[in-house]
Amino acid sequence: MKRVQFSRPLFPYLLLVPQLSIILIFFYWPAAEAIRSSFYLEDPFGFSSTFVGFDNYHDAVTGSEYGNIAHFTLVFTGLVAFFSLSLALLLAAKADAVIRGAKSYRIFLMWVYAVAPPVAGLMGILLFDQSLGPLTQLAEFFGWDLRLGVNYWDTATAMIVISVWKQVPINFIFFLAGLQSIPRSVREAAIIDDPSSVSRFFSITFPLLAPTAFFLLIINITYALFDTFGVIDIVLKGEPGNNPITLVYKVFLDGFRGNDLGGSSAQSVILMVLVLILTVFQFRFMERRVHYS
Amino acid sequence: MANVTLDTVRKTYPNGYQAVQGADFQIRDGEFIVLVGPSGCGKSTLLRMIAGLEDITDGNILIDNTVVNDVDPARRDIAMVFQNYALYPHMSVRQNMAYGLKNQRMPKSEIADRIEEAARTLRLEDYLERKPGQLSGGQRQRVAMGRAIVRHPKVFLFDEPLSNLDAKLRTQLRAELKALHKRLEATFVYVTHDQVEAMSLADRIIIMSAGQVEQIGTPMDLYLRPASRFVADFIGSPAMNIVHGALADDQASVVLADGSALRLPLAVNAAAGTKVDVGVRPEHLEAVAPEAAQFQLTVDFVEQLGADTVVHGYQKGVENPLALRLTGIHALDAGEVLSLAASADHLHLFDSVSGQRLN
Repeated sequence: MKRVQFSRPLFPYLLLVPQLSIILIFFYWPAAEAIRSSFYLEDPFGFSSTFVGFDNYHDAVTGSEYGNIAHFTLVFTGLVAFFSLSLALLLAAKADAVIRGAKSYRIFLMWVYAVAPPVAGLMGILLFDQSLGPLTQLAEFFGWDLRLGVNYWDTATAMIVISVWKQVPINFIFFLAGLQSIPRSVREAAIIDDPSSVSRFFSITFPLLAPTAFFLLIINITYALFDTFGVIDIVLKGEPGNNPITLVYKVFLDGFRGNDLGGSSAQSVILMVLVLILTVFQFRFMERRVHYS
Repeated sequence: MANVTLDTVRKTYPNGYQAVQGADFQIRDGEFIVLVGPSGCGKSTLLRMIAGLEDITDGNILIDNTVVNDVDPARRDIAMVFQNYALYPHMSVRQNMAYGLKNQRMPKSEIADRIEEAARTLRLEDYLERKPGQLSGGQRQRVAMGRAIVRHPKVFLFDEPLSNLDAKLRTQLRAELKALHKRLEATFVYVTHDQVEAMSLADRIIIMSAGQVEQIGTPMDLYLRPASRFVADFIGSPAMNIVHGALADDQASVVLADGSALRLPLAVNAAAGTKVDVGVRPEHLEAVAPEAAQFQLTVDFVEQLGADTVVHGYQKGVENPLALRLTGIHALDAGEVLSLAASADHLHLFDSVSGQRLN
């Protein structure tokens, strides 16, 4: 690599300052603050705090509902990531094959990406509305009495559907770009080698999409774990009752509704560690199987 | 091994563009056919239609006397080699070659035998476990050929397979291709825009221009008796000299732009006054006595190529440039005037308007 010499040695650091300060202020500082306060018990008015060691962690993990919520989060994340990836891939493969009117199809499939999560949640609620929602009526047609916010499973279904709907467009954009970067002649060589388009997809197209799919898998798991907060908050209208919530939503509830800053910090630190492990695992074990050309 | 017949095959794109306008010819069993022409002439479209990668608007394509218009590319028993190799980047060389055979449900032992045979032919034995990304351009093109050979297809299709390689490698692989054709005795259809490749490889050349077949014939047919001005200009390097003029009243000479008369020692089948183009190859012009000259070439500049010398110049009062190719090394100065003439069988006469041959 070429080394560039600056006449003033501090200049390059100056160029790094904006980027570094954003990371420091918005990531490292809050993270450090969370770790610090996870060891303290804070009084509800914020006047004093007592060092309690690992008590907050112990309380969080042994809490009666923690296991249930963790279990739901796992299932929720898995389903959201699976459905948003597979639906997007299916749509992208189909849109890629379309020749006439390709642009309008693509725009039609992409625009949802521009909708903010809370707005998506609101639209979702309208779709699932008890008396007016078209999806509720559709469910009723099939004999399913769907009750959003009342029935645990129905609420969970709505949360997953809205979260998937919100995430499909971005996955679609990436998959479509990935599909279009596969050289035409490689596909044509496969057409001559293999008469079955399904078998072609799994032996040629999908392996060549693997780098894209791997990247999206990480993005989608992170999305389902954290970014679905807005959707969940709107669906629950801030009042979870006995409806399902994810770990991130519990952090918010305990910290800002329950005023238990220490306990909520301990939970967020646990999440941070989980994500760290997940990321390391993905890059160590999954990336090896992925072909980067 | 099989013959390929094109019966008035047309290709019109949805936007109305006619890529191929009525191709009508037969490729014989075991023949090495080269489709040649400038870019956009429809030669690749024609090849892709034989492969089945492109729909046929009109007409029939027959392989081995069977109409294959609606047969899936994978079931036409053809193999294709692409310009940019089109290897599967995530598969090893062995897997690349095996992929098509596996899909034909061929027994594993036979697949292994065929790969071994192809690898030996193409000297790829040491690279079978490598991925395409670890190979050089020439090796990748060999793998692409290997992938075609293992299929033992009825017809091999090549779409400009050498144009991504450097000149030296191209010459080497050209010779290998010719040897391969001899050994396999298979039908080869080869597309290129390079007339040298066409001349050196082909049993017969099909030369195309603007979606139409201009001429079909052996390389020497095309060189010695081009059917049109387009063919005359395309085949041969440096290109044939073309001089505009009009047929004189006696029909035995052509009046050039400078008023001089170019005597034609041949019979012409056109009316007096017809606008004509006279063609003569640079290597067929010879120095003659001034009174026997057909052309008076004023030297502009000289290209010394070692084996021969190419003289570029013009005839005063005639706008078309002239070139002369001399064997060996010759020293000539700019401004020097040479008296040149060609024998009757080396003079080509074309109609100025239609471009068709007149003699």
